[in-house]
Amino acid sequence: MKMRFLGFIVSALILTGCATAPSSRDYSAIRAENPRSILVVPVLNDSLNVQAPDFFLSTISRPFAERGYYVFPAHMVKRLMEDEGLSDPGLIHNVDATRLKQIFECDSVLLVAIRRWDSKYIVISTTTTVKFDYTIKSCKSGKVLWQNEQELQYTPQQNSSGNPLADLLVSAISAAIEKAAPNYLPLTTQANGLAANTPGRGLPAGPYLPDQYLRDQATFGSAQVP
Amino acid sequence: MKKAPKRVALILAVGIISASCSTTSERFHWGTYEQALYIYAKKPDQGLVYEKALVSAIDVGRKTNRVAPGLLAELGYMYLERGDASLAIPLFEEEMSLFPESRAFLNNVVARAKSGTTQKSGTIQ
Repeated sequence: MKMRFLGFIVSALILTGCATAPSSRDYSAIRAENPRSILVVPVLNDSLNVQAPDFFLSTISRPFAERGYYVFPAHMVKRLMEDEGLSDPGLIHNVDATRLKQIFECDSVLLVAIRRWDSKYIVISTTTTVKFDYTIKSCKSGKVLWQNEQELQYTPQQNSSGNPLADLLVSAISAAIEKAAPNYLPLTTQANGLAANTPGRGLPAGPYLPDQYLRDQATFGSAQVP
Repeated sequence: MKKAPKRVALILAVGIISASCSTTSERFHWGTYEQALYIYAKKPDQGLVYEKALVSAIDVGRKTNRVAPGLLAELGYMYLERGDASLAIPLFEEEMSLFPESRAFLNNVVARAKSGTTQKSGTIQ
């Protein structure tokens, strides 16, 4: 009799790292301004993947707009900023946010730093990791209104065939595939969704969610989360 | 060329799976905006993929009153980059009427488009 593992039908996505320690957030600054719009500017990249910022940009608008905010057209803004000589993320992240108001009339600006975006091959498994820091600053005062961070990891898992040698080979192949074409996009999408939505540390609802706008203090309140 | 649709299908499948885990129903209709922008970012010659994704997401969004913020402006900017201000301007105006937060910014873009300086200029203001 062979011991069989029937746990996984397909190579299952195991997403770990969802449980970032729930630290308390102070919502008084963002509640004081209630911004209606968010400008996404070029992303700061600490990872070694030079394409990460471009890929990241495709996943940032949706989760923040779905929180009820007007998110400026990310790709168009990127192009215009390049034309204006404002495409250097290091520069933009240090510039007085009120300067952006003169150009975009934005209520707030979202500054994202990519801390990790890598895929590590260890023996016969590959783990892909993304980690982002998010900061929203006021375009009116330049003050920080909201901050969050999110890390996520993905390791492809294989179902066991009962033949250890065959399993080893399959694992190695799947790890190699993950190494060659890491799943950054779904991982990044998920990370952004968690960063924007998680009660207690996500973003309070904006004006395009009228049912919740200014009424979600219980979920995103200034009261400290235990 | 042949490989692209497969890759798109894969990205879509993964996207649908991950979306089904987290979201209930969305405020706006995004269609394949994210996947298409990703492809366009990876391959700058894939502008048509992005343009088509925007057109169809906007189309569905208009019918359901769920046009997503930014998409009309993105499409307008694609047209503007091609030098087609007459197609671009109505899209910018639609974005402004749906999302007044974009008004100051896009009014400048429209003014520049009308004066013919469609792509580059010294200052946006």
